Amino acid sequence: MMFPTLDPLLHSELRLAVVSLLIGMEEAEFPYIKEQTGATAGNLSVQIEKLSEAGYIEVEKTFKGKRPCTVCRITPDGRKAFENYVKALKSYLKVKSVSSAADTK
Amino acid sequence: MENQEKLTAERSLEIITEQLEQSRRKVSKTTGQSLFVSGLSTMIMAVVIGIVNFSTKTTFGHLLWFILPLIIWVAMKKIHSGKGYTPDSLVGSLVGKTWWTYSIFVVVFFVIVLVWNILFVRRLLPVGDHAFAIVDPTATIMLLMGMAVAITGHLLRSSKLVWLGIVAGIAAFVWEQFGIGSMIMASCTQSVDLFVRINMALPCLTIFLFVLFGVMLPGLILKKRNL
Repeated sequence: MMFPTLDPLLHSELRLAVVSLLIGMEEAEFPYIKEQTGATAGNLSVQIEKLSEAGYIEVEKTFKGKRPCTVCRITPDGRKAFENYVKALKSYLKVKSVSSAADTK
Repeated sequence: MENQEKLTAERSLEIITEQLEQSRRKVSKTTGQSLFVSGLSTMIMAVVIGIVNFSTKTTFGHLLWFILPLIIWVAMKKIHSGKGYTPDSLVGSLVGKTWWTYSIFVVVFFVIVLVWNILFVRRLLPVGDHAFAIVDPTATIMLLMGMAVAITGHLLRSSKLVWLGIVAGIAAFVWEQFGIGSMIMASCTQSVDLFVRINMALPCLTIFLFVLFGVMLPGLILKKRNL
């Protein structure tokens, strides 16, 4: 049985955590994402950059008073990619559970 | 957190579930807190207005409801100040929009009812061939509030909140619309003066009980569930 391949851009712990976090939010600031994912600032910046280059998220650099503030939000392309990733994941897990059930027989 | 080779499908699913669950818990907690604070403020206001109406034998105390949104807004600001940044979630914003819509309906309806009752029924419309009834806003406001609580429950996937909203909203509507409280009071009270006083304060008792079971308790449940 064929199943869709997992999007390599989303198939990474941190990038997946960022997109999963943003999927339920209107937008989130960089420090909040860092706190929720437990990533280091450097690593998170790199992964956010990759997601932004792919057009999965939108990054806006603004100011909060005098402090610089980076706000991230998911784009329609990112939402679609996430939906496809979850679909692929589900079909993969389905195939896996069917084959493991066959093995036990 | 960057070990792509070792990322299994199970772990991917775990990450997604973890993040979505975390976000849902946060929204539920914030909404629970908001319902609790709004409910408590409304109950205190109902007691104050009930006392004013009872002692003055009028319904002018109900005008105090207009300052309730201000009290709730100040209380919310105080609670959320110094708690740091929390982003707006999609579910949270839907819950907010539900209550915003409810508030608009209630304020507009309340103003229309006041104008109708005070200006038209008592002053402008002729008494005679046609009878014009005074509209009691409490029943409709309670029904709308029950609906808002039930929708909030659906959004937060809390069946307790859905059912408390539906049952409390319909019960309060029936109780108030058919004057069940007044009928019970009429059969229990001998003094006309006391009956009139109680009748003036009775809608406040309905609001107090409805808000206790339909808003404050669900708020407390949500708050406790997500501690």
